[in-house]
Amino acid sequence: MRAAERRRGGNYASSLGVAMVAPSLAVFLGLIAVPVVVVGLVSLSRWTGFDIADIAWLGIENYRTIAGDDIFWKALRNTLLFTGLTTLFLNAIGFGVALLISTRVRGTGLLRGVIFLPALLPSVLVGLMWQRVLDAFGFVNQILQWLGVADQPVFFLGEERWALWVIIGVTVWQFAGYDMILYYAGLQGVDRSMLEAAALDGARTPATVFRVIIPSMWHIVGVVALLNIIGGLKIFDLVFVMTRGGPNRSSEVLATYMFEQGFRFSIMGVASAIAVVIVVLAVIASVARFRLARRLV
Amino acid sequence: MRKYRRGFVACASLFVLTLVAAACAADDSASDAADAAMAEARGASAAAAEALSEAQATAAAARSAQADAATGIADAAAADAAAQAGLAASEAAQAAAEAAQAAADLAQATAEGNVEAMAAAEAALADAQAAADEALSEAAAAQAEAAAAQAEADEARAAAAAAQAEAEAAQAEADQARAEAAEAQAAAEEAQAAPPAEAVTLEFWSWNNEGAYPVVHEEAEARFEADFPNVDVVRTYTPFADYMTNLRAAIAAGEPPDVAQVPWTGEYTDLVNGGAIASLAGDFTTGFPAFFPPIASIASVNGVPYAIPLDVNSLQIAYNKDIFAELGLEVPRSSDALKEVAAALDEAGYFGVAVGTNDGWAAADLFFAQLAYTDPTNTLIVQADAGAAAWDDPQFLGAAENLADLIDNGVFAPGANSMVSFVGALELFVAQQAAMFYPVGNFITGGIAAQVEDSFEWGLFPFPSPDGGEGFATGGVAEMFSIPADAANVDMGIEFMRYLTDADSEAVLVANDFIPSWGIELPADVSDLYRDLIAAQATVRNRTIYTTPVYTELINGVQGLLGGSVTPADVVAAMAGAG
Repeated sequence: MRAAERRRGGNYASSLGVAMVAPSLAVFLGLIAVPVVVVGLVSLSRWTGFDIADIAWLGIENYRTIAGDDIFWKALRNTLLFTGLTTLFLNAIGFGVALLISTRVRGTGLLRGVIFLPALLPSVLVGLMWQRVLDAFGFVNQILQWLGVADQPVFFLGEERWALWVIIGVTVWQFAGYDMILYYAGLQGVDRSMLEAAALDGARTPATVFRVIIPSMWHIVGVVALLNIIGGLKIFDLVFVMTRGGPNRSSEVLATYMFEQGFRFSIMGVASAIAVVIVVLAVIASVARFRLARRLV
Repeated sequence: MRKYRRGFVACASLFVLTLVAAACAADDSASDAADAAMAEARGASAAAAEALSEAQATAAAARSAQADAATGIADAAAADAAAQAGLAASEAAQAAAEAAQAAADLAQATAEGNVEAMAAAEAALADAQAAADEALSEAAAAQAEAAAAQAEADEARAAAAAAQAEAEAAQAEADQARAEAAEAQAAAEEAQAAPPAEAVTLEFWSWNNEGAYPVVHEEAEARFEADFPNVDVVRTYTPFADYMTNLRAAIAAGEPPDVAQVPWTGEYTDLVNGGAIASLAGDFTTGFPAFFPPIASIASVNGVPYAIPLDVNSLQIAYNKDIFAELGLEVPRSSDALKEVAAALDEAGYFGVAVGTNDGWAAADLFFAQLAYTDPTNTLIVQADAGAAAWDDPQFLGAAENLADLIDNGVFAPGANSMVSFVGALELFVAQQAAMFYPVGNFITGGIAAQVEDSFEWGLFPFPSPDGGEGFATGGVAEMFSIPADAANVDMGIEFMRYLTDADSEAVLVANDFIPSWGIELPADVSDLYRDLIAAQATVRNRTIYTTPVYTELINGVQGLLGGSVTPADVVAAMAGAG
């Protein structure tokens, strides 16, 4: 009698569970899982993106095409450089500023607000704004000329060797506040007693930061870095608005090249192959994070 | 829980009932319209059936008349024959009488010596005479009879002819009735297939909601809606950055707009080759003006038109007349003169030609300005697009080399790659830091005039030729429109494009400084600038590459030339690699 009741209760719970999970499961399947599989299939075919009846099986031909494409490799190099450097700077600045404001020194509240503000702006707006700030007669060049540093304007976005670096800088400017907020939240979770113990042991600030705070925040670092890496791998909007991958492809990244192949050239197969590369890189980063996290924690 | 159950059930029932009622209501209104269309179709069908049965009756009457006529003809022929027979009989009888006479004569002659024989001969003669008389009278009777038959036959023949005529008339009437019936039938079928009287929404998509283009669209819409009261034209403007994505999505979903603006780039030919655009082969020359042939060819893919070009543009260099006058400079007519002007400007603290290539397209136009002279036939791009010429053809290379020479000689304001064409580069010109600005077409003259206001005088000249020969502007289609293959109202869409390109629309185009893509009578009161634009239009050189990857490599290549990172040979090699 009791067993039967328990069993019925258990069934009720599991069917209720399924019912409650169903909506999000449907959204996940419909909007994420199925499209990812479709992208994988399209990457193995020839398709212009119009009539699904015109799709033709190609096998790995699209991957061969991108493997032999200099622009793809350039875009991949730029993407990895962008991702690595933005992740590094975002974490360093975000963590640093989070430490600073956690001291609650006068004025840090304002700093927190000011630094977080850009993260609230749409990237397209940020791109357009910096394009104006950095152009030949923009704010930066006016300052440089007023200071007498440069007598000719500096064409930040017009120079092949600078364009990508400028976009990296703007990305850090925009998202440092976001990382800061995550780290600031993490800092609140650091055990006070450990900090007090360190202080009693006479540890100086650097030792406290590197030997107490950072080790107890590894999981936060892992999550923030992973978010930065994934954001970096799929960077599109800032590049598209500020340089369109130019000049002469000097700031081309995987996502802008994917957009060009798919939506300008209508070569959906190659575009999907590039998309698969981005997904694989993101998955590698995420697996690596979990491995690292397991070893460190 | 239990005590709420009734409430839940009531609420759920109410909700379901509401849904069902709403569905029924929606269904009702839809089925009302369908019923009306069906009834109309049924009416037309019945009318057709009636007309058909009437035609069939007429045809049957005609057939019987025809049969009567045939009988009449046969009767006439028979009577004729009888008359002839009668005639022959009378002749025969006469001959017989003559023979009998002869026989009697002979008998008389032989019987001269013999009284008995004579008496017998006389008797025979009398007999013969009598027989002959009888035969004669018989023949005469036959003749009379024949004549009567003849008369009767004539009469029958006339009646037959009349019957024949009547039959033919009846046949014609029957044919007409049958045709009418067929027409009615077709109309009935059409009515059954598509009830057209209901309200139609004509979706019109464009990205040009800046400047005066919406005025042109709106004016055509107003006249169109006045003539087609059941049609509601709905204009949707989307920024170009999103436009093609939206259009592709709508096409893929099978719900494209009825009339869609299309770009004069490979994105257009991709749509056509993807089967997404309806062919205008039958309509392009019907009810539309005669488009300039080079423009018609830009609107065509493999010789078949898929778009209606509304207006065209030509690209030239804008120059600051005040600065030129201040420094005593002439409008340059050769590449060397352009370099000298740029050097003189540099010395006086001005930049040469401001150009912004950050957003890409103007970079390609720098190349096209040179190709206008290295390709005197103005056909090379079209050939290369069709695969009949190589993208690293010496004439393409020559254009890249001439451009590189101008760049090396400081003709252009520095930082081109950092500036957006109609933002940073235009500002240099407006702020009088650069004395020239390229590329300028009628689509931006209004914008320049608004920014320059009265601060200086400015004009246009074509990008000069390398050797000082005649100068040519580059140009192409500005706005053109297509009908997506899956559009709901293909014919209405084409009709709307006729309104966009008719004489009234032409007047609106001219009044707003647009250049129609067909020849026009220039009104007397147009500005000098507009006159310059129209004059340049007559000899415009192609600036449209439809192979998008090649166009993209061209833009990247020219950016590289401006940045000093590539050579002209690299540029054309990359174009050939992408083609």
